[in-house]
Amino acid sequence: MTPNDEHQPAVRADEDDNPDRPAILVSLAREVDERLYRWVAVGAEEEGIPCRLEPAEEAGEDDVAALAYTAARNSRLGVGIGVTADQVAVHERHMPAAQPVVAPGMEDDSARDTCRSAGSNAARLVIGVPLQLD
Amino acid sequence: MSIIVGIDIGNSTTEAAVARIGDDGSPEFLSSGTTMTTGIKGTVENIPGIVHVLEEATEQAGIDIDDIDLVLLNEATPVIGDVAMETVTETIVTESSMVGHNPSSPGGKGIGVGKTIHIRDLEDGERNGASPDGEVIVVVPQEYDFEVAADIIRGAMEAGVEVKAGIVQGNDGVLIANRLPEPLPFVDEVAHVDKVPLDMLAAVEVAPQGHAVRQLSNPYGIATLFSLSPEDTSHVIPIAKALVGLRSAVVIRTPAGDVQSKQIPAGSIKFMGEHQNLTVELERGADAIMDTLAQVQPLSDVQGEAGTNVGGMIENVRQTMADVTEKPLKDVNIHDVLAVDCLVPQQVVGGIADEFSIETATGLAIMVDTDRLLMERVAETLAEKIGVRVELGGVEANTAILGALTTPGIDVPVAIIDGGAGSTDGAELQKGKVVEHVHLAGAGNMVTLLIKNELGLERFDVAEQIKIYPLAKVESLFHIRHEDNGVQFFQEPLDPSLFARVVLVTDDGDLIPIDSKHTLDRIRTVRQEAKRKVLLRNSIRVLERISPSGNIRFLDFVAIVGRFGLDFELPQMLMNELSNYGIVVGVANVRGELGPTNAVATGLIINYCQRQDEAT
Repeated sequence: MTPNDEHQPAVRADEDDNPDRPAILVSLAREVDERLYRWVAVGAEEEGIPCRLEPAEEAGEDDVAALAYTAARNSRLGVGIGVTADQVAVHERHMPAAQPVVAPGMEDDSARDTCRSAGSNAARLVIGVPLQLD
Repeated sequence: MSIIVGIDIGNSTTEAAVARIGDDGSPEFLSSGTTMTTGIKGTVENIPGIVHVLEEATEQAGIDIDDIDLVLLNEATPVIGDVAMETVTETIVTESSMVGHNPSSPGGKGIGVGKTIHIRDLEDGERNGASPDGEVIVVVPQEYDFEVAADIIRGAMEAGVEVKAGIVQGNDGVLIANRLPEPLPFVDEVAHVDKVPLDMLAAVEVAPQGHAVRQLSNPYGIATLFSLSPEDTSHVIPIAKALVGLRSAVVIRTPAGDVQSKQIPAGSIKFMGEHQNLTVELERGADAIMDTLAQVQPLSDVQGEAGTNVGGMIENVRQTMADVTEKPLKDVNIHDVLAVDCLVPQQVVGGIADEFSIETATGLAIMVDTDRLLMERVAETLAEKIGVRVELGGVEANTAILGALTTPGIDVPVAIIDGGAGSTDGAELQKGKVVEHVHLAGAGNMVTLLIKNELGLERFDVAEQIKIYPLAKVESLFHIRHEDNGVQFFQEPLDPSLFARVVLVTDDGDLIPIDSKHTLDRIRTVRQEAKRKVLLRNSIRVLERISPSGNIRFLDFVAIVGRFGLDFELPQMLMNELSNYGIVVGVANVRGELGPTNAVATGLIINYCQRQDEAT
């Protein structure tokens, strides 16, 4: 059998939403399907780093770099991810605001892989493991 | 007044020195040049490189090639070297009885024992209510998404199946383990999961972070898990040995499954000396080989046992040299051998997860005699090509010492170590006369070969870069830590592809990432050990051979010339080693400005002037 691409991962029982814990923060632009966050979370989970959904602020929320940068600035780990309809950006708080660490474009049919890889790379930035870049 | 040029053709670089000889017969140096040697040293293929370096040096001196009155070539470059390596042990797994590797993130932890079962059968069992009996280890191929796999396994466990562990093809071990009611050990990234035999008793162990497997790397541990007899226990020793130091492992008990560690018959080497012949087995290791060689000195030739690996290796070198020199095979004599032990990672034959085991290997550098005729041919061809008179001007090591003597602060008696890519040479000068010179097998290329094999690198040029550049670790997007622990901060962010990587720092400050899983410490150790085993050892061998009494302590001044002197750490290593003997050792500074390079080219011109003096 082959798994269904529409299949979405379930929320894990031990998920921790305590806003005080260090985590990678993920901000979604308004029009983005919230299920994409789950795939980002899976990527980070694989590397053992927690991540949390951060509601986007109003201004500039279509700018993927700005979304990710704000998330990174608010993250206690200094790493944030922004997701818009066609792009995912991973940002680190010391980087110039307009220059995310990685910002791959996103196609509809590979959105889950792109998001999962972004989550994984964000976690790798935290733990100091080489990124997976294509 | 005349213009003459000295040219030194080395295994790797060709150097030139241009001088104007005054009416009093003393040289005034005008310029120098360096370029890569084209073709094998001592063949007419060297001509393009020579012409290139001539153009470079004459342009610098503001003259044309036509203005040159005489070109001097280093005489009869007497030695050509080659390097090769043979593995003397290998590990073979039969019937897929073992998986052992270090995936980046295995799931869960602990030990699970049970019969291997395909996840498909677990799923079917759930559907028709025929759940498997007893403890099982589930095998999950890539096409099962981690969520789907976790659902099936969770369902089976709730239905009473005793799932104890899992073997996963994808990088999903953590994700599956996290979604189960209890954390079970999951080994993941097992590439050939289809080769895992089903319905066989198996044990899976995943060690906690920072630890290595304990039970499966212990023969009695395996015996305990599988209730083995003492006789069977003796058969699992190679398995336990192969799993030492790994984070996760699987051992499968199959009827004929076995892991063998076997010696490859590598053959023997016969040293033929002027007084006696001695034979030594390659598998006895480098020390035994070098001891045997020392006993037969002076050496006249070497033969490898026919039909064995070492035989093929030595005859290959002889054949190459016969082709190059156009001499009959029987006239190509091997002049020196350097043997070095090393440990090389080799892919396990029959492995399931592309495992590597560390095997013993022996590297050999072999040196072949050539003769003056060869260089005469190069000289003739060159003269025709550029229309300038070309002469051979003195043995390489002797001219090198004359060049080294232009170093400020140096005095006779002096010995030099002239190390390049192919050979380590040496000479000693006493009271204005060269008393001894030697050429030994093994230099820079041998170091590169050791680095390449011990780190399991695919490319020679990467190993070459590791040899010549210091290491650093990229610790953040803005700073690196050099191998000496110094930290360097960057104002602009580094390329994300460099993040967390081990990199080489070039002379220009560029960072080259090394594409391997080795840590900085491991790469550094391999690099320094390779230099110690080849360059340091050969430097000592050179000094022992040129010292009149064979005792290094009788030497006062030692100057390092050639590429050895350019290495970023070798001069310090040599100084540390030789200071024990009370010797002044340092890097030459030819003509007070060129560092350790250009010694032979400069020496050729000085040698010419001295000969002119003697003649008048």
